[in-house]
Amino acid sequence: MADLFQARVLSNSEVCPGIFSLVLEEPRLAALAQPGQFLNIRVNAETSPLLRRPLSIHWVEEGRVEILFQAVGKGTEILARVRRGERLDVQGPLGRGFDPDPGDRTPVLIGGGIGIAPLGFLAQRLKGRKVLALLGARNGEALACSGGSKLEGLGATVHAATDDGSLGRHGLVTELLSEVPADGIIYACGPGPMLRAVAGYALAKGIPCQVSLEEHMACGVGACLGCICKGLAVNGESVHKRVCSDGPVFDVRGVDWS
Amino acid sequence: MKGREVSLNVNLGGIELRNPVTTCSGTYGFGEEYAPYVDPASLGGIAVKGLTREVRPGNPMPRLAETPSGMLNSIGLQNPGIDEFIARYLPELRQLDTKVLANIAGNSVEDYAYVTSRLEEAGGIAGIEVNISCPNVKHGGIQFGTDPKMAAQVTRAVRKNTKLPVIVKLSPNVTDITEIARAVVDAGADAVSLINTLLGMAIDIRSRRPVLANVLGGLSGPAVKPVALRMVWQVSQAVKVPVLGMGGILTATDAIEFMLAGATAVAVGTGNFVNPRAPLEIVAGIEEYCRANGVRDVNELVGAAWI
Ligand SMILES: Cc1cc2nc3c(=O)[nH]c(=O)nc-3n(C[C@H](O)[C@H](O)[C@H](O)COP(=O)(O)OP(=O)(O)OC[C@H]3O[C@@H](n4cnc5c(N)ncnc54)[C@H](O)[C@@H]3O)c2cc1C
Ligand SMILES: Cc1cc2nc3c(=O)[nH]c(=O)nc-3n(C[C@H](O)[C@H](O)[C@H](O)COP(=O)(O)O)c2cc1C
Ligand code: FES
Repeated sequence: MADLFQARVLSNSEVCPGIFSLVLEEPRLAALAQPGQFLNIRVNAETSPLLRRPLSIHWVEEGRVEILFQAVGKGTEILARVRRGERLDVQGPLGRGFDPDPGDRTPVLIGGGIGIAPLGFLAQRLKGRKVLALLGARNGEALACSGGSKLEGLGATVHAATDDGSLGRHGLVTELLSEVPADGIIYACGPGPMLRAVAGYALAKGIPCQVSLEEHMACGVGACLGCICKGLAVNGESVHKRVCSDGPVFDVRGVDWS
Repeated sequence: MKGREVSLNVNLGGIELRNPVTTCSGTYGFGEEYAPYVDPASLGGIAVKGLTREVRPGNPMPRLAETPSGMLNSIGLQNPGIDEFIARYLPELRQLDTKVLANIAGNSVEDYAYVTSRLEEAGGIAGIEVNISCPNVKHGGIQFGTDPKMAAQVTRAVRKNTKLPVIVKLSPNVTDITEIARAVVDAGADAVSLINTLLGMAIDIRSRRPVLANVLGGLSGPAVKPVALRMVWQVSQAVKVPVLGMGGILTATDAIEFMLAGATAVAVGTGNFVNPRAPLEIVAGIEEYCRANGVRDVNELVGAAWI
């Protein structure tokens, strides 16, 4: 069950331009966390910014929880200035994560940009399996520090695509989709258009696929109905699903992509 | 600080609350979402998401925009409809050791009456909170809550269909909120709650478009607190029924201000998003304040700031 923590900051550093690694020492949170889940972080004790910021769990090790975030606005810029030894008001772990049991299938992790981050924790849970990772980012450095190197460190086979061609294919990660084996199972996180393309491919090929969606959030627990996505019920009916609590990870068959 | 027991019980128009702290409709789901953080048994009560006769899918996304010390929402009353509420959510709500307020909304007076009678029949709730910040479809979409006659009509229709205490929730988007308050009290409201959200909007200068798909949304959070406090001050002195005060309450200090302004009880809304344990901390803080100030009964605070 989720809870509130005054988590101790073990480290917070800019791992490459604009991307920060924040490590929290919080054994109970670490024990509860599942891949694909997120934390809702209050970046300061003021009323501005008012709302918590949702950030995915990137790595869990020895009672520590790491997140990787891009400083893109007011909240994440404040978070970037948090220092070692401070306490951070953290709510979590929240949401439904990936179903980390691939059965007999070959896990294929597909990540775009900072969306690679949550795949790190998933790969930790898949350790010992043959894992293929198709990753995309603006350049090789961003790809490596968004989680690419960690996936490689765990033994995953990484195929890259970068916007500037500095690593792997010069282009989008979706151009690597033909590498997904027929017996694969896809776990994907990244920008909306990337997920749409991945979902389209998986549905067309009949490959099982889970995607992690993103929406602006207020409560993060399913209470406010602010983070809705269009979903499909088992009977094919269109329904509204809450990204924060019914997701953020969804089976592609449960999402209305039309 | 040790001392004598402080009595925290309050009576909200016939609803006995064990303490004056409740949660706002639409910010607390159907009660289960905050279970990991707050035991409902330690609260005076909770209000559920606004219920309508029919299933409502709600507004298109985006529905949220953060603003300075506040937020805008345009959820559009997404709810499963009264039938599904009674079948699926009410049984669990009945098990909670707290007072459950069912918040209702509608497009017509008949809708309000219908939903009320269904709730009356179903049983298990402590009171009905009537959201009158809804367009009257039959009357050109003017909000019930901005017209004293229509507000009174809705109140009478609800009153006629239930023996439960009726709390009418007032809209702040009016010139004189006391006029509406008097109208609904004359029509039989046992209490009034205020404020609902203030109409507002946000614009994205990059796309040059409104942020919310619905264009307009309701402002809530600390940004609205001074307005809410002023309205509670005015309404509580204008009518004889108790007031449930809300709007930007985050801390015990905020809640005590509302009580001093004349609220018999308070509700925490947006504050839950910021601090899921805010309602608990507010209960503790009110008790602490009473003890430190020699207040033996929390009711002594109600309207104590009136001059
Ligand atoms: C489930 C989930 C997991 C996420 N995981 C990560 C992660 O691991 N690393 C990372 O860098 N980012 C992640 N994000 C995106 C991150 O939450 C936003 O970048 C962040 O909230 C921006 O806040 P800000 O104050 O810096 O930006 P601002 O633009 O100033 O924020 C304004 C408002 O918009 C919201 N917002 C802005 N961008 C987004 C966005 N893309 N998604 C959701 N809300 C947004 C903010 O929460 C805030 O309410 C995740 C989002 C979600 C929903
Ligand atoms: C996301 C959201 C949804 C809401 N839904 C409802 C609703 O269904 N019915 C209602 O009467 N008020 C609704 N409200 C208004 C709140 O109950 C409350 O009156 C208002 O937000 C002011 O309090 P606050 O500043 O503490 O949030 C909603 C508010 C928010 C933020
Ligand atoms: S953020 Fe409130 S329901 Fe998802």
